[in-house]
Amino acid sequence: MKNTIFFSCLIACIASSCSPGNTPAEAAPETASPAPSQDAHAPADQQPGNVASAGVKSELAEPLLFVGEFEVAEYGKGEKPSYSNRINITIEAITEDSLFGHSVVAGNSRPFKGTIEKGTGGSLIASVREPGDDKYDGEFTLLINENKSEVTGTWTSFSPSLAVTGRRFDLLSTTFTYNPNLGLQDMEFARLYDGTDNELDGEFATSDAGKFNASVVELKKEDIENMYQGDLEVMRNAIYARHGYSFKNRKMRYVFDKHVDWYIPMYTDVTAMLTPLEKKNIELIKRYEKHAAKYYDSFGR
Amino acid sequence: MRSILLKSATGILLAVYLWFGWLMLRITAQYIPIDTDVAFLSIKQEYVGMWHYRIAFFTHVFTAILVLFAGFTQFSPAIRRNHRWLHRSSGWVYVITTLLLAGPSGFVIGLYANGGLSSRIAFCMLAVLWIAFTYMALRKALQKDFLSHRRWMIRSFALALSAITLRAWKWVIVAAFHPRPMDAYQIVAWLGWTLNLVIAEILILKYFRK
Repeated sequence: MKNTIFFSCLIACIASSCSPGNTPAEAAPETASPAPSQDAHAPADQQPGNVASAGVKSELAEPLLFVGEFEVAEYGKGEKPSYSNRINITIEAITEDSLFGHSVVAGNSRPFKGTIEKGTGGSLIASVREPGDDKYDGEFTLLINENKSEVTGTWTSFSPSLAVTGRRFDLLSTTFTYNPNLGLQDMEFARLYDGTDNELDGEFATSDAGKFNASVVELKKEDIENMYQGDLEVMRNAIYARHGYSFKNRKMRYVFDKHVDWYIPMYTDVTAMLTPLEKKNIELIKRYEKHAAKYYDSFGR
Repeated sequence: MRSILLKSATGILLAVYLWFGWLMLRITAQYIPIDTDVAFLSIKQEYVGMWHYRIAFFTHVFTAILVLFAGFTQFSPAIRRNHRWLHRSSGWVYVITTLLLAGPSGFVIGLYANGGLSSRIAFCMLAVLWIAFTYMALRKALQKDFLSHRRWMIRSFALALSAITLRAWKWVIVAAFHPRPMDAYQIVAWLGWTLNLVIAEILILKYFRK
């Protein structure tokens, strides 16, 4: 009798932790607070991992953030693979035998959880899975080093029909705080990927894109009316990048992944975090962007 | 043989002119219904609050295209000889539109041209010369000095054509050199009409001396 009860409980525990899309008990208010970032403005729905790790007694004082490049290890059947994207893997909680966290990459923010065991020399090896109800879900194998300053590993997709079905990464520990003063000093001439292979029609960005920091300077039309469309677009998207926006769209994603060292993808939606100055600048830049898009190389004015 | 060549050249020229006229009509059509935040006005928002700017802009946008129509009728010797009424009617439309509507309104919006002082001088100068040449052409016609009338009208129409040549140059320069937007605009603000005037003077010297 006792064995049956014990066994049923065990099965129930295993079943509940393995089934995809399973959301455990509602997040207790006090555990809902540790944000994946120190940004106080982050809306609750930007922290999916918190739900997964709620109510869990973690040996971590706060979530750990690891950032680096998510590179191709294996191509799948899909088209237009992305060779590399910047990824943020956040480990929210570590218990005796489990690990909870989430990842943010290419406009996708997904929680994961799984088992953990001790590796050599104080390192940890975790095998975690994403829920499975998103076509880009898969599972990670994470190797966390002894002082938790580096995470290396691999990822495999659940679906074989993606363009990339396996990736690898070597991420370093870092922190994120919104800093409006971050500029684009390293911006130089860059071809903007336009989704086709037509080199001639592609837009480009120049060092002009870093001329003004649209998060701190109030832009006037004289500042931007003589800027190329590509520069306007990068300057505007830098506002979102400073807030940690994870770009779904390749054109901007590639620019910030490749040319901007401080960029960390944190959230899939930052509109609620924009300051009034940023909103004003975005509105102005958008005008000139739209105008350039329609009229720069056309017969009309 | 020469006559056939001439007729074909004229035909082609008229076809090209018709095509550009159609492009210009499409530009005008963007402003129907009237909206102060559409097309070109989307980057003129700091001026659309001024009533004189709004009046000048919409006057220019809706009347200036009328002057292009004259290009079909006024330079045909056959129409001048056999259908004088058509030459005169079109002529009056051209003159009234230029002197009272498109010209003055062009001057006003030229004061607020994109690209800084250089563009503003270019457009205002264009407006003044266009009005002046058209006025001279009208006066000569009323005085029945038709040879002078013809010369002044060639100059006047050369400037009217700048509506087309400015945009055509912009397209060419952007395609060839990819300059920054206002740099391109500053160039075509001048190139769009000065070259037209030079060509007009050459034509006058060559063919319309007497």
